[in-house]
Amino acid sequence: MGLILYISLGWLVTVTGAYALGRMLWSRLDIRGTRDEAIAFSFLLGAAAYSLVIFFLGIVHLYYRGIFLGLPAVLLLVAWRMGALKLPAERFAPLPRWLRWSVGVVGGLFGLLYLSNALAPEISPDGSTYHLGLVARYYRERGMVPVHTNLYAALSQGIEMLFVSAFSIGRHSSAALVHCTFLFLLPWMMLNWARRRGMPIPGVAAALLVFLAPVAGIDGVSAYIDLAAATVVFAVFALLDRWDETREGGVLLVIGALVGFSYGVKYTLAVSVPFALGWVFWKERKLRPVLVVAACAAVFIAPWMIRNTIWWNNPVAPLFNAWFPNPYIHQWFEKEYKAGMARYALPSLWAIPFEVTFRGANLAGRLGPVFLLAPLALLSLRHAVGRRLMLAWVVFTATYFTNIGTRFLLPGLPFLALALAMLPWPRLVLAGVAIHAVLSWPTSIKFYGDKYGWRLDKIVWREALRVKSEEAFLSAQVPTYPITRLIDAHVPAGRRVYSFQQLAEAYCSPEIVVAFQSAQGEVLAHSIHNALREDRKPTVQVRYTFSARPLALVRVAVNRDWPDARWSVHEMRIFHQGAELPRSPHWRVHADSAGEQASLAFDNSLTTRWHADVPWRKGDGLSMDLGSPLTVDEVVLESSPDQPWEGIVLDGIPDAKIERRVVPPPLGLRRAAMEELLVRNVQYIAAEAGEYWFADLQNRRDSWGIEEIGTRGTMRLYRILANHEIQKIRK
Amino acid sequence: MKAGIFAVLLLSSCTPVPQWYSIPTQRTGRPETEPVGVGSFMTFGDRQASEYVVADVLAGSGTEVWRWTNQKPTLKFVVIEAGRWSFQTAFALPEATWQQTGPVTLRVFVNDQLIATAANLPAGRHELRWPVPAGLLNLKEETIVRLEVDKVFVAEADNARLGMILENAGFVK
Repeated sequence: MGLILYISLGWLVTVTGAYALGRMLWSRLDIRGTRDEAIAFSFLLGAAAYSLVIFFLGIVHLYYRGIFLGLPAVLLLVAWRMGALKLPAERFAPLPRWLRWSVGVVGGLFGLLYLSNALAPEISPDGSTYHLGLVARYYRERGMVPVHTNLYAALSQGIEMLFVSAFSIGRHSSAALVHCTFLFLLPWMMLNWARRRGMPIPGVAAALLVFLAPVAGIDGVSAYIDLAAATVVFAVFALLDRWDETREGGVLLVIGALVGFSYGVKYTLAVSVPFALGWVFWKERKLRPVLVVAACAAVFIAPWMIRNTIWWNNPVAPLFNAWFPNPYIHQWFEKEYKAGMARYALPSLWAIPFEVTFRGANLAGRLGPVFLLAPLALLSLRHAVGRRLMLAWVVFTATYFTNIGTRFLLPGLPFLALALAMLPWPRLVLAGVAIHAVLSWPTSIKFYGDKYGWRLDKIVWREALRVKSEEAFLSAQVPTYPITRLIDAHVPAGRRVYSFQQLAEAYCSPEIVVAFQSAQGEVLAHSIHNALREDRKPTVQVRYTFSARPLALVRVAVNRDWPDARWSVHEMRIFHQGAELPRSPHWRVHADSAGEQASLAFDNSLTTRWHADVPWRKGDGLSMDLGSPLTVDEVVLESSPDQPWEGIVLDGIPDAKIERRVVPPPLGLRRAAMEELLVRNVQYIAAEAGEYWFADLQNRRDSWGIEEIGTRGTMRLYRILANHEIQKIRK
Repeated sequence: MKAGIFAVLLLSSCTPVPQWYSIPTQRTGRPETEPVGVGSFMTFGDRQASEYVVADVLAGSGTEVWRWTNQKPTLKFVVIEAGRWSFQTAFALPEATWQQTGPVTLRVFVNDQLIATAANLPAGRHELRWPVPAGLLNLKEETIVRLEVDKVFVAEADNARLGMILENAGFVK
């Protein structure tokens, strides 16, 4: 029970800090409104401000439990002394009794489902890996640190900042509860907006359409950020709509803050910037109010951009790496990652409507079958307010096709739900909501949805109250949890673990270097592929022979464009009379693409290779500056069978004879790959049955130079032996 | 104007990566980490794969990841440590040859003792594993494994007798 108290306390101090700060700011702005609106907007404004405070606490490394306990208390005291906690007397007219009861029953039932799951141990895929993995890391480090092995660390982390506060006291479930707060806040804000517009019944209907949507439920109870994102952009819309009516200057400041916060919560919500600025300019036709909004937004956006410029050489990392080349994330990876997110495993994009409403398997979650009626929302275009809602839906769904996961529809969902709820047949709408409630309950989903779709299973009070052991629940629900416990038990502080898949990092201390999450992880993955895969082994030599001549610069380049091909070189060597010229420390190397990795083609390791980060571009090359001229009569590129070689020419020596030879693979590639891991401060490997190298690791431990630490479930942990340990064993 | 200056400053700060790099520390190859002679497991495609072959495996260029066998491909292995070992192999019976042979039965002998039989194998790729009785392996000495198929494909052109396409084999724990 003590744990529940800590979890609750972590949530309470975080929302209290946000609310107290929000009340201080809101009360100063002298904005009129009802009590409900004041509470909701104050909390959201405070969440933005408190998140920023925690950002700066992280920069100065002040992440201590005492700070996160004390600061909200101080803020609450100051707010009380300022009289900011006093709420407006104005209230909305009460809802009809039958509606209150209906909402109470349905909302209460789903509320129990949501609260129990939020309180239960955190098991979500992204929450247990990077959302809380990074939060846990920051808290261990007592502040924000650049984590260059994890591209998700480069995203804006506005909600994760609030998670840090909660996590410091109540750990994972506390953070999930903070996100769950937004799941309850969003429908309330929708209802407030609708009541102000004089549409309480459509407001209730729309709020329930969103609140009951299965993907909103599971996302909202997890340590994710999507419900918070949807809440913030809806608040931006509601405030713009309100400003349109009242033209209160203070509202513009809040709009600016929330626009900035929306960027801080999720990059894709940057669309709220042109949306808000455009709206204000369209209505006012003056620059000053636009600048007010922009300036307030900049306060919340700039810290993330500055952080990323300094830590990642890219203000908008991990995106736009072609504009801001950096050694941390490959452009090629970004291209492939975006392509993957834009398609998932769907055979056709026409499958999206059925996937996001019914099946829920391929796109991770479902909105509910009722949303197949979404086209009816177009009928709302008959009214001005409907046109506003549909405009907002278009804007906040505009980025959906960059990632077609169902949860990426959440920011636009409130607008769509309100537009649907405005249909001229209120009884039909309420009947639709009732059907939605039935179809959204977990037991109903089993009858029509894919069983592997992301969804809640049931009310889990035993897990929430820890009657059922947390360890047993996590082991059963999170496939990689058991191996993280083994890692925590055996991997000393400061050592790192390499894995081809994401692990439940939130539950272990050592850093996990995941193959696809960084340029460094990718380089190591290439080393392993080069040791094992026949098409990647350095069994191809392209030899350029020519009459001996003094050369100070040797350069190979591609002589044509080839949009789909990416070239690579394992090693580039120069010869005279059959003898390789030993590499001198005075030499310099250069590559026109992925320049910081050019050295991989000159390190004498046949498991590393330099990889261009762009497709073949005529003239792109790989160069060696020899300092002073040396007599050379042969240049050799060591490469692999997967590499095209026709079209790679020796610059300045057009008469060089080109010959391709196939040679046997060199011995010792497996160990060489492991040494690359050691050189990059990775001492352990976690591999899962089913990964292509799993059997080879086990069968060839001597060749890899590893020892098994243990097995948990389908995963195995190995330690990479140091060279002196291997020599000792051999003796 | 200010936004423009800010943007220029931001953009100009984003290319701190130098153009030319020093020659890196030179790595030393570790060929000695691969088993000298033969080990407990072999994969065609490994450079030293041919060293495992005793009989009935067709020659290759050294870069293939599989080899054709005749009727009784025989391999040798060296197991160093005692333990509960299993014999594992991956091979394929191509559809084209299977049309002639029909279902194939594979028998596995370790040091001339039959340890397993897989009867009526269909066409396709197979990955099989059987426990090895204790005491059958010659620890630190050569252990001979013979795989026998009951039917072979006889090529019309050269009368070559083809048994299976072998990918890997060996002892695993």
